[in-house]
Amino acid sequence: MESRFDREMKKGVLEMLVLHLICLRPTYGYELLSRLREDSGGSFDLKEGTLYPILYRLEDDGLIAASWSPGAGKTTPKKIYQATQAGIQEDLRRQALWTEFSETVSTLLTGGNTK
Amino acid sequence: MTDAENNMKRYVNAVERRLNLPREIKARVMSDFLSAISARREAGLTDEEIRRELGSPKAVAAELNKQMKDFAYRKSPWRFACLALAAVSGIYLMISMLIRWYLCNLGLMGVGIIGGADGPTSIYIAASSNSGKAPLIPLALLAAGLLGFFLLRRIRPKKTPE
Repeated sequence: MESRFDREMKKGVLEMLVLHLICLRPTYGYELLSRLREDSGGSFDLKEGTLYPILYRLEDDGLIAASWSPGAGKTTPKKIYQATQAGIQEDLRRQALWTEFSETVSTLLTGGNTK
Repeated sequence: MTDAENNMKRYVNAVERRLNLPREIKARVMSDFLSAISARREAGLTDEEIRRELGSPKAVAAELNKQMKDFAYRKSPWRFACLALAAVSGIYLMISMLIRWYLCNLGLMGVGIIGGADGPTSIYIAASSNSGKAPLIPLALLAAGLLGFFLLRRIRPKKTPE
């Protein structure tokens, strides 16, 4: 069972990662979950339901857009999410923010700037 | 084949039934949930495996209800004012109808004693002439209250609760 701290910290990062993965290529929920799980070595193992509020918030903010892809063969169609122009820009901004942020945090954790 | 389809349909319906979310949000969640199932089918999972991975309808719905609670309706205080208005006018209507009915019966008894055989006809006339005078204002208030109560449920949810 993860603590409240772990959960809160993951929440923001997750929203950044989901947007980033969608920016890389249009994708759907199941693929997002699989990629997050595999590429993180299992530390981002989410349930379907955890993903939905993130996707809806991104969609409501106009950063991603949903469309229906016709299913292959006789399967039913799937909902595909793809990044909008604003989403791509926001992804770049968040990446820069994250880099700066994580460097600052690392510096602080290792004892601050040695002057 | 149809058996498998029916099982999956039952599963999806069982999840949907347990979702305690506004209608549009529910539709949105269910479209993604159906998508989740077809993506897993394409990936080669059997229906049995899909249901095991996603969890029991009860567990899935509980998780979705929890995750989506930020998207629930904002409850307007006016909504409850409307409900109170509807309740008060409803009670008023009921009481006034009871009184009417009571007075009506008293009246009929008088008629019955005097008029004899004309009983059923006079009941009909007395009832219809009385309901013609139905109190319009409390009736309108009742309707307005109920209308307000249901319309105010449809307020858009808060965008980001922070």
